Amino acid sequence: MRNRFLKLILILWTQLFLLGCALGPDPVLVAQVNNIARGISDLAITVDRKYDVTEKAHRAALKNNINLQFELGGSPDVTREDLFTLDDRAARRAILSALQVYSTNLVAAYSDTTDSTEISLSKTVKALPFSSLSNLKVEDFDVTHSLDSSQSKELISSLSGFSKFLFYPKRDKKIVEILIGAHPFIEQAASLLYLDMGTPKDQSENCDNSLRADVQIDQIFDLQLCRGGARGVMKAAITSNLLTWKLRLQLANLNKSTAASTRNQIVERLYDLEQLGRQQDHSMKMLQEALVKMVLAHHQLVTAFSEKYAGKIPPLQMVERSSPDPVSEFSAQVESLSQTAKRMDAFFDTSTPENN
Amino acid sequence: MTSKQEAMRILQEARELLDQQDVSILPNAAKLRLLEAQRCIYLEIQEQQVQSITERTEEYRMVTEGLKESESGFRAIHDWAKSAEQTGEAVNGLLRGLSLILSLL
Repeated sequence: MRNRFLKLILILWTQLFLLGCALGPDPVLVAQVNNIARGISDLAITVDRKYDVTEKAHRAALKNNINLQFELGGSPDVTREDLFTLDDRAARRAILSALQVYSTNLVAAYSDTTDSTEISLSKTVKALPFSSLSNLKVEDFDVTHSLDSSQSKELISSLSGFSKFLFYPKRDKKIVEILIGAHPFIEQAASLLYLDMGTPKDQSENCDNSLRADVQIDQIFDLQLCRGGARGVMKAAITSNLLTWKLRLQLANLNKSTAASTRNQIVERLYDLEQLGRQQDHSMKMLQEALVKMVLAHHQLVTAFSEKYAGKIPPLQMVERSSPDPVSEFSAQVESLSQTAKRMDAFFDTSTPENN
Repeated sequence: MTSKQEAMRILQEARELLDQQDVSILPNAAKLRLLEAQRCIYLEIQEQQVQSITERTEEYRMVTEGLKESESGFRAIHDWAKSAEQTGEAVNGLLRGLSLILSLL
């Protein structure tokens, strides 16, 4: 009778243990969540930096014009004319920050690896299997006269399966809900930032000025944008700066005493600015593509989580995928983009005042 | 009424006309007027181009609020994890009780 009772208990715990083992985070999904979080974080930093560098390019163009007026004996208006208001920048920083917090929370909630993020949520999740259980030792329990050594060990181990059984299914279902709920906002955020980057020229004779966040992301490349946004502003700033340098060159040629080295410096500066203009526009275009890829990557994540934990495809509009692995493609593109953008965006930081 | 697109076209034409000016034939005062005109046209162009960005600022706020709604879901997971940890402690107690029962059998 006693042996039968003990076996029953043992079978029960072993079942829970085996079930618990199957419930932990899926390593493939953990990798995807980590990749997308890293990509979103890098993307947010790069986008924010683009607003900064656009403002710097604008300021450099104005300074060059004003300095030349001073050099010619004029007294120009030196009132500072910023492009973006503090309110405009704060609204963009808030959404970029919300995207970063979202992705960090996702990592913390789903991952239970020891190198997870440092926020409090992850600390609690990382503590699973629960600390009190993980400290259990077979020696603490005097069951030797009832169970042999291996049976005792199995009994203790099964408790970690029991703890997973209590927590993971509830958590995974909630993560699916969060992913599905957040997706429309991720898509709208990407659309808004994409439109902010804009275009350096009108894309048709009847381009659209009044575009909003409700643009479908997979149709965004087909939009006929009007000249404007950060790319338009950057192009105008570089063009204006180049124009002033060309005037400087004409004036240098009028003055016979101007040293050849000065003319060389001006020509060098013209080349650098022209190159910077092309590189910046290309970088912002890549950023627009990365924003679209972020949405595709997130959509892939929603689908993968839904299939694994909810047993169905999420109620999201299907998007055409250009890649079998949009998450890896997104994180790889952003990594490359953020490195080149960082080097390029330092242009105005290293320039001397007279060169601006 | 002039559309934004039309306004931009006019401003670009004005800028191109100024850009074509040969400064070598201009007296100093005219050079200064040219530079000032270029600055004014440039600022007008930038104002037009930035307008499409600033018009979206309010929309950013709404989307940000929507995205922040996910935080309540993450908070729930955090609370469950805490609660599950407490359950783990309870199970620990149960096991010790079970150990006692088994030792008496």
